[in-house]
Amino acid sequence: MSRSSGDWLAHQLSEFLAEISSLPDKASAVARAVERAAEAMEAEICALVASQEVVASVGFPRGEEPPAELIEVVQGSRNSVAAPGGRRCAVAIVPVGEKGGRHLLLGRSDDDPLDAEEMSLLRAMGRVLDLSLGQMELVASLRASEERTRLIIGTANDAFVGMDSDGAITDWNNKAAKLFGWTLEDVKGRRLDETIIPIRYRESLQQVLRRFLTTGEGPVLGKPFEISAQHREGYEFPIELTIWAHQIGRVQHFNAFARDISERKKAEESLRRSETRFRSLVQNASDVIAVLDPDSTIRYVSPAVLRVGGFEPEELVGHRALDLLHTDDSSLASAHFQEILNRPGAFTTMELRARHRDGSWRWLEASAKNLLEDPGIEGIVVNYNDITARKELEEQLTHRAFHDPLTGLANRILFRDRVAQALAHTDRDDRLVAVMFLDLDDFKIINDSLGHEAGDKVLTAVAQCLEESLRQSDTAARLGGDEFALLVEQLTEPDEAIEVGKRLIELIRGPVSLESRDLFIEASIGIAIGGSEHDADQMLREADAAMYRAKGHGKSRFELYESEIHAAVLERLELRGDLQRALVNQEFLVHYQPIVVLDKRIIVGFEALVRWLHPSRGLIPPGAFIHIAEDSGAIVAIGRFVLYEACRQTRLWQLRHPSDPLLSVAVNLSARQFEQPGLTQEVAGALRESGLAPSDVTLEITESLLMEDTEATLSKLEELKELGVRLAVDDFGTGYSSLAYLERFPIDRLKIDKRFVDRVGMGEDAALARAIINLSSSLRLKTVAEGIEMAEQVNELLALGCEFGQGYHFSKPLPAREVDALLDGRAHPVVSQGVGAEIGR
Amino acid sequence: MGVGHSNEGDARRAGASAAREALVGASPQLIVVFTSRAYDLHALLAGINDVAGAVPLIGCSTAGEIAASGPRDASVVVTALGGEGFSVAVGCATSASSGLREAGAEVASCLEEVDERPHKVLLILTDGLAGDQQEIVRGAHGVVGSGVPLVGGCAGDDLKLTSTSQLFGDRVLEDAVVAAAVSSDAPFGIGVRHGWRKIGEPMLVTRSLANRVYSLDDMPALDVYLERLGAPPAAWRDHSAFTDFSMTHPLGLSRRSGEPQVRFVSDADFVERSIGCIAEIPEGGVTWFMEGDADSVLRATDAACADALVPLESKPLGMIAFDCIARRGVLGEAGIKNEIDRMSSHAAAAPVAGFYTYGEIARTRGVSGFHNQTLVVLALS
Repeated sequence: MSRSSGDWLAHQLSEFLAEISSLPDKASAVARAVERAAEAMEAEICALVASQEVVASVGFPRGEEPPAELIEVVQGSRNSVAAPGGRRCAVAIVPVGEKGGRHLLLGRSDDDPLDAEEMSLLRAMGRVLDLSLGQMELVASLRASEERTRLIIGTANDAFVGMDSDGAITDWNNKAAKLFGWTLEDVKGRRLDETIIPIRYRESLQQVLRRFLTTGEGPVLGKPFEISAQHREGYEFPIELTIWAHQIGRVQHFNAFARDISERKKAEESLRRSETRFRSLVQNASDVIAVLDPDSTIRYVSPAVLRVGGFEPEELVGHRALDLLHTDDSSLASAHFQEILNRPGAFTTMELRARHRDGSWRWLEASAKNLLEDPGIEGIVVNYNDITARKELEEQLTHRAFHDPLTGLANRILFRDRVAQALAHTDRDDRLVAVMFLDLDDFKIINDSLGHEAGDKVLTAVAQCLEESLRQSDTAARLGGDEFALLVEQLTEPDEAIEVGKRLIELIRGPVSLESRDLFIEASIGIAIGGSEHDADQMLREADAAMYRAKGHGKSRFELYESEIHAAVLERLELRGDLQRALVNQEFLVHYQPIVVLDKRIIVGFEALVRWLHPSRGLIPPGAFIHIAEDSGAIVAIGRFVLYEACRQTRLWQLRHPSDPLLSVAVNLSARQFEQPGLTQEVAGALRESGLAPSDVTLEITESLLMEDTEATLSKLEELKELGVRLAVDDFGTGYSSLAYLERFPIDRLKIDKRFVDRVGMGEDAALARAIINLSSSLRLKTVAEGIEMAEQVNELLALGCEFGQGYHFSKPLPAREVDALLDGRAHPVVSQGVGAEIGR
Repeated sequence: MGVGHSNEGDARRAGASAAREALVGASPQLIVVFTSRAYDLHALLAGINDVAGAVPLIGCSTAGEIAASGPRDASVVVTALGGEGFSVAVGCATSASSGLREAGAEVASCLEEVDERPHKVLLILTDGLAGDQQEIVRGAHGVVGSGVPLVGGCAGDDLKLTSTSQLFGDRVLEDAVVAAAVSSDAPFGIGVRHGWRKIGEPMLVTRSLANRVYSLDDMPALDVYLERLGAPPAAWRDHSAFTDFSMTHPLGLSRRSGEPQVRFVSDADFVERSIGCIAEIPEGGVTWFMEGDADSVLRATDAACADALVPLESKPLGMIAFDCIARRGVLGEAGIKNEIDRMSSHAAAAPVAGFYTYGEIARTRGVSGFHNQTLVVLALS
């Protein structure tokens, strides 16, 4: 039947629903759903992906399902997969349920993508599957709850006693037997006051039951009360007893739960005793401690609030704490507060702003714990301290990471991000996006003849000119040197971009006044225009290529990107192919850059750095191939090679050049490597094979890696840490700087990026480097300064408290045999102190 | 590819003679046997293996054998595959009815043993009486994935519908699945056509369980079937009269593209008023009654052969046909002679082998791959 005969969609859907809903459990429903969807659509592949995991799939040969590719489809970073048999499949994706956790993926070979009707069928299948799974979960949970009730009585922690209307015992669980020393046989038919309740309570207990039977009311029924119980052996102990009534048919029954509270009683007693001590502790703590009522009214606040907030405690008592917060934070804080309010013992933390008595807003790190039911406190206990300085440093670092310090324009990272966002938007509004690369003509001449200061003024003037000419929604960036970029959004046709390009060239031509003279600046512009089918990197490459073409065609002009000039893409593809071959041909080398103790200028270890000896292009630096290797996944094999080689080589040096402590090595871990499931085993393998002690190996990870998926990251880092290796954060301060993770993760070292080190020792403002070093030492981390180029830097870094460093001032990265020479003292004068070799003076 | 055909009375001699005729080329790698159950199958295999030696063998019993010389009953057709650029591995699963999907998966595992070459196909022969054959196809597909086509048929027993045989090496099995994974430097082609057309309005399958249909449009399925199609009175009471009638009146299931999928109606329950099919009829789906005539069925033969030849890059070396016994019913004896002549002319000078099946397997797209009352043609090059 062809689909044009009408209700194909409805028929397929009703078949699907009938089949899925008839299955006994979720696993078989999911497996069948995937299969059935593929059958209906004649698809090559179909899969259900739920939170980073492929739950079921069909169409792949056994054991060859590519989970990573499928998950990337869900994440949106790819839209097709290689189907079995070599064909490529465009993959359609629909959510299963609204929570966004589950997706149904369906791939049919490229020449036959799903049409609109089929997409709506697939969507409906996703919905139907979600409903069916929801129903199955409900049924399963009901079954589980029945089962649970049955289990509770048998395995309850509390003693359970069932009684008839006369109070005669009919039921008695194991816990009751254990607690009171009587078995069910011993007590059956007898009353509580004849067995476990001392005789002095007999009358009152009888009254309770009688009163209930006549009036239906009882002062203690359903409410726990404390009473003394008697063990079979005669001794008494305190219990909490809850009795309630229930009717089976017309007959009234009583049930009771009893719990031994001897321990609790003892604890309460000791709490009373320690309360005085506790009070004095709180009074003197440096963090502020406050006790709040359920409506957030401050009942107590410790004297530290004078230091942190400028207030005397009595000025705050009686005020609602939530009213004192910054309006941007108060609703979130209120939500956190509400969340713990009904859960005794619940705990929450958050960062928020509160007003200081001097009128300024202070960042606080606060934790709150619900101790409403704690008899000693009966309130919400909040503990907070001032983290304003830390937050300011974070903001400063983050701004720095995304802006060009000279012009204040966006930098390359931020610009690329904006381009990616703009491209994503085009999906919705059908508009175009233009990326323009703008390079000043002959800027080098200005710089060389008039000096850097003049050059900087020109750059600032151009930046200002760009900012003034742009609309609110557009973005200007300085990518480095005299290279600027513009992102123009919301274009309806390419001509508009060309107009902007023309206008810019004119605007920039306007003279820049420099002291007594006017400079006429010219620029060449490359324009790339794209929509949702482009990705950001592609747009940037295209604009770059077009800009070079504009320069090549004579300056002060603009050029629109055309695909045939895209040689860069070709080169990248070529390199990608070469990379695969390079792995096989062992074209990778490891170079070692010495890491030096700054005060003694002695080598204590090395950072291992990969190099690629390309057969025709010569030595290729990592910057030119690492990102390609990251993309293709070759980085994993390269990383493994570097790790094994660096460990092997370092052990060799340790044996040849014994020192105390022994020479160590730092190896970079890429994000892709970090994601590999067997990483810990691999590191352990490299250690085992080389004989290197774990503490002599430092694994360097990037800041951005720590920001992702923190739970998984934490457990992975802890696994590595268990091995005994050390962990360092590389290039610190170059990404989103959240300092909280430094405390959370088991980090040993912080490596300060060269950009911050550059400002040290140059008579420039080294505030950021100082702040980072202070932070590092307050967290008891070792600090390593990267990219040290001058002796002045060494002294100032030492003064700032930085212990280690590396950089060209000491040595560039060297091949292993040159390191040997260095350690032997053949290449540099050595002052032997029994600890490695001294260099760099 | 070489094909031998014999209808000698003595099983061992028939096997030997057909094998000798088939083994014309160098380095045979696979023997495929389609045979009548009239023979002593152990003796028949002995005769074949006497001639072929240790070449891997799969095969099955039939409801009629096909060779270029024409359709036969009570005969044996032996096909030998071999030569350069070609590799084979075989697999076998027994007690299939207790786990159809697992059986499909088990035989398909032989694909993992075959040499890596650009084109692959898995040839499957099953016991059509063992249960829902689509489950076997799903099991095999789960192992080989969408990249490898599945092709084959269900063994027959000359329409006695009691039990069928599968052959593997020197073993004669029942309730089994046998398979051969073939990889080749040259492409394969597969054609799947039936030539049946829908009649009347579509009906909703209001109650079904696996292969049994209990109600259509909320009325007893058997009554709807017999009434709407105007079945002869005998078909209302008598099982064999019902099968004679149902053979030319299958059910059709809607598919996304191409012809509707055909389901053979294999039996009627006159008490329960239900009908049984040879594969699953999903509840909640839509179905049609279908009919065909000699003309439409023969047109399908031409189309299936032509489809099978499309992917080939050179002249075919041979064709293997899995032709439903029900089509034989529509065409009659003269008609099937005509059908096989047409296949031979499509194959040019190359040999043709095949058999009349109780169900056909051809999975080239999606997951479905079990057919009824259909002609499946595998062309080799």
